[in-house]
Amino acid sequence: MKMTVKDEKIKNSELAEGSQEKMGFPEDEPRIGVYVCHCGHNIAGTVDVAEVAESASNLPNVVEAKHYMFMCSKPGVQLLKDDIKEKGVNRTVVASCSKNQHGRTFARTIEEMGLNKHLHQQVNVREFCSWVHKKDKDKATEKAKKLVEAGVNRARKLEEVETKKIPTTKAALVIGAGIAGLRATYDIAELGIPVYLIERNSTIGGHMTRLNKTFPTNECPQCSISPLTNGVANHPLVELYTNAQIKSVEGSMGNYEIEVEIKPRYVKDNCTSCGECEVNCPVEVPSEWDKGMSTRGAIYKAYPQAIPATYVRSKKDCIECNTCINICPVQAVDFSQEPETKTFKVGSIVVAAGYEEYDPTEIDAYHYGQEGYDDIITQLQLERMLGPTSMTGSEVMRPSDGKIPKKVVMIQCVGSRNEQVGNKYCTGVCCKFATKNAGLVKDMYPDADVTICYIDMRTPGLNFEEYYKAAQEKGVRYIRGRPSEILKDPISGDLSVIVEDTLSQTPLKLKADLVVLSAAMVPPEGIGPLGSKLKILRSKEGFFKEFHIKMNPTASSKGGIYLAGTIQGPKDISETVAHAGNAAALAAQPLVKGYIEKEMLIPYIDYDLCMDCGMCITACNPAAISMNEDGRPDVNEVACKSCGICMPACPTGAIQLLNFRDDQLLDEIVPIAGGGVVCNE
Amino acid sequence: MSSCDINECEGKYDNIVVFMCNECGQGSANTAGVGRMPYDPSVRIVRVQCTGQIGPIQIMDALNNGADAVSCVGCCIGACHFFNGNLLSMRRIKLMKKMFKELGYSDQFINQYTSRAAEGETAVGDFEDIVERLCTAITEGGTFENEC
Amino acid sequence: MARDMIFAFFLGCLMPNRYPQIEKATKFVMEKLGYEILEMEKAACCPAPGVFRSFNKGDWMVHAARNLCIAEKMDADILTVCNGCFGTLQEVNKHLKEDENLREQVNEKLKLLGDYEFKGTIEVRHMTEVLGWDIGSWGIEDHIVRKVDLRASIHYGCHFLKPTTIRELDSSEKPTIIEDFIEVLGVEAVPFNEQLTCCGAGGGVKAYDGNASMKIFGEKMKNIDEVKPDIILDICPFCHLQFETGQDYLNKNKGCNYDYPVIHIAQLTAYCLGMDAESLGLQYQLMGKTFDFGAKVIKDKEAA
Repeated sequence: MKMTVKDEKIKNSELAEGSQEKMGFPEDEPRIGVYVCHCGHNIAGTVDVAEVAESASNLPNVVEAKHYMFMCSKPGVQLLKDDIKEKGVNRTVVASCSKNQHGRTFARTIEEMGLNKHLHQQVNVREFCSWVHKKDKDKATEKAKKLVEAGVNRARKLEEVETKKIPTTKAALVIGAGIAGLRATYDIAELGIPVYLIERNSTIGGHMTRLNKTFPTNECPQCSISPLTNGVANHPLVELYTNAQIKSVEGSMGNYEIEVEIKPRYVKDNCTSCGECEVNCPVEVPSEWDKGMSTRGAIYKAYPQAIPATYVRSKKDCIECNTCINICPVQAVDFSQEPETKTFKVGSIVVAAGYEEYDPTEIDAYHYGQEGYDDIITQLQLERMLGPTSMTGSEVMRPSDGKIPKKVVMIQCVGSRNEQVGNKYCTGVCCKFATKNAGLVKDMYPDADVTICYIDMRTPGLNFEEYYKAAQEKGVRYIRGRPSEILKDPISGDLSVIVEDTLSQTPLKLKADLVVLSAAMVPPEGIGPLGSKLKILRSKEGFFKEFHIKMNPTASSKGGIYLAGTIQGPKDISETVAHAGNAAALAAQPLVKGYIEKEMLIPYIDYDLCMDCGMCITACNPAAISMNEDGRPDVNEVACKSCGICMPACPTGAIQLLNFRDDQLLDEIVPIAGGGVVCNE
Repeated sequence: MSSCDINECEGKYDNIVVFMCNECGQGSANTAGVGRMPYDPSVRIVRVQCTGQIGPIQIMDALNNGADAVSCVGCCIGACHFFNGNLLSMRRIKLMKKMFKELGYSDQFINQYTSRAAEGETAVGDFEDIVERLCTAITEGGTFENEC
Repeated sequence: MARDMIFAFFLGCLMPNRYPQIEKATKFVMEKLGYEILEMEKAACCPAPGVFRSFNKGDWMVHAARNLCIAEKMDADILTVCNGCFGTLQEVNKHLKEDENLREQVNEKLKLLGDYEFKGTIEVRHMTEVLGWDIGSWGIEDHIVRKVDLRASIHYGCHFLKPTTIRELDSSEKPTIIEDFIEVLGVEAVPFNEQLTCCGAGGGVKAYDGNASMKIFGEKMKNIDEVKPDIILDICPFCHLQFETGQDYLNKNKGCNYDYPVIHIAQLTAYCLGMDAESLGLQYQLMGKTFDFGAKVIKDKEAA
């Protein structure tokens, strides 16, 4: 049974009552101790500390008001301890430095004395007062008095906040088996945590397996990734599901329950991968994995090294001629397989759903995908042409006539840095991969003209400037200018790229046998439904939004769900691997420890005032509030991030964040705002 | 915005309530303190979890109790530690400004700002702007006065 | 007559002064198709989008808004056969409809000119839009009297297509509106290199820097000459002027020998709808004086 917030509070207060009674003081009455720190001359040099302490002593409920040279020193802290023991002080107000600096010191002290640490109120009279108002000592003292009065008012109604231990389910789910998903899976599994890895496609490895070479070392990506693909596929703690998609997600940080739908392969695991079925399949459709640069049968394997090696049948392409069933030497083909739904219980979720290459058909002036413009391709298509398993035998050939192009023009920033298509961001890797591919083409065909039209060349980081230089030395021509359009001569059919070389301010018309568009990285298809199932927020660019751009780039908006790789924004492979490793470490932390420690600084709902309008549910970013079976909003204490955004959303003031309630804030505001004019009707 | 001579308004205000969020807001004010960057002693800071937590109730509480100006200071746009609390607050203050204007008050004494924890100047700059805007409101004669 | 069958015909400056045959052809076509054409009294220059806007955008808007107000009072959409007029009037109409502040400012100034107030009740239409979309290739079929077997190089002109966000045509990079329409008239569109570039006249270039204008135009003619069309088809009197006088200039000064008849879409449609060849006014134009339309007719209902 999960305890409600209210039960918990009652339980706490009973405990506290017992401990207070032992000391011989009544618990219901707040007994406040005020301590003003001199901080050497830092505070006392500007603020008349004695006067502040004196004025504080006259405030209601204040039983002790002192000033001392260094409150954070051992004797200073002892003052608190003594007063709690002897004077029955049950709330402390220390007027010294910031909450971040020594607030914790005093909170820990009162915790040692058996009080809840949230009953300490820190008043900052150094950074917020003495240090910034040095020239006006009278006003500074006045301000300090008001700040202390506000602190005392606030302390009067402070409530205890319990820290809870929530046990976690020791298992993790990773969505997506590209390089990020594989890295995260492996790292988590190596910590001894079982991992369920689910992949939408029939094979694992993602975009990386499609590449020909990786920058800046031009090594084979297949060779770099295979230890990881094999390692994950054979790991005893990893359960791999391909053709699988998330159906629903329930629960919160530490304990999730996920339903996954697994589509059948229609080929049993005893498949020996001999390939007889595909050879004899009468169907021929463009291969998605190969970006349309080759064809596949209705029963197929995406590429020779694919993991799992089992063939897969595409039901939508199949004409059910049953050839494959009859021809399979081990009778592995089975059309009767049904989709199955599995439920997993996990503690953390890592989302590594990757990216998609931007589809440039939207940019009319580049004519990509239009009839008669076959020789305009994307970089990923060029990679597939150059790749070792390509249909062209790793040669670059014009799709229109199969000739080797003599003039190749690459266009940068297609779909990136382009407000017309709604993508303001720089993808950040296109300059690098265009440089790589241009260099490779130049290596293969030294006589070919290879030109890159760019807005800005962005190749930062170790080894990349050298990489860029090397391409220039090979003879790759760089032109600074964004092409306005690609023209096709209606008579000869030749393509030409219209661009202004902005460095020499010359308009150019570059003849091109092959035009390669460096298309942007965009969020993958289906990210919207996935996001709404996981209840995590997206950035305006469409990627999943990280918790904090600097300090928490791998956490999502919801506790217990982590982002790995390009699902959070465009990245290259090394960044993706590092990002995924961090996501794995964060996801594994609570699972290794076995529990999550959380301060229950959460809002609670006064159900007498609540009218079930659901405004708090829409306001809550981490989706911690939901309707319960009775149709009333319920706060999930584990998922809550204590921001209080739900408070102003409530039209009746029914939802109130503990220790930041409207009346508590009012008490603090009154002296600060001047305090004189309180409306009494 | 018309600027005015701040000295002219001196003495006409003494309570400015600034709600600063627990993250960048408090951080920048602390940095300003450590850097000993002086600002008007009328500025008083209330610590809240996030500026998105501050609603019309808190703002009107402050004004009802004698505050001359109220402001919220949150994290930079896009860097809110609770995703979009600063944007929510910004929108809320915009609406309140509109309402104040309709009621015949100046819309210059309730404001929303952002600041950066590492740069105390941003907080001090916000405070200076608060005072400047308050002065405009005072000269325009549309400040909030408690009538009870 | 239904409101959408009435148009206030905005003449502009160039057409009534230099190519009255286009005006005649337009009226002929529109009346044949069952539209009522109203004259706009006191209408002034549109004013030209290139020159006037570059100098003073505010007054350019006020001036255009005045023309729009005249049509608003007549409660009829504006019809124009000129890209420049279309560019100005459509753009100003759209801006003023969308931007409340701008509308207030412009109305303030309009008061100084008399009893004018922009309300935003009408649309601005180019004849090409009306023919291509309202009538369409499917609708013109019934009205056709004769078809002509011609190979035409189409010149769209810049202001008809761009800026894309304001014009809101299906595609400004690969438009097909004229191609689709003239196919029914029997005319084959011959694409040529850099088809959508400027003719060199607009934006004040022709008036300010004749040499630059002719350089752009010479390039254009070279590309057209490569595909050897029968006629050059345009939709704007200013482009019309450029193609006429430009060919003449190139022949006299650059040793060229061009003689491509320049036909406005109104002229072509009028001929196919039964206007006699003489009224097309080719004899008053500089180029293609001897061009015989009659020799190209493939189907003539009247003759039959």
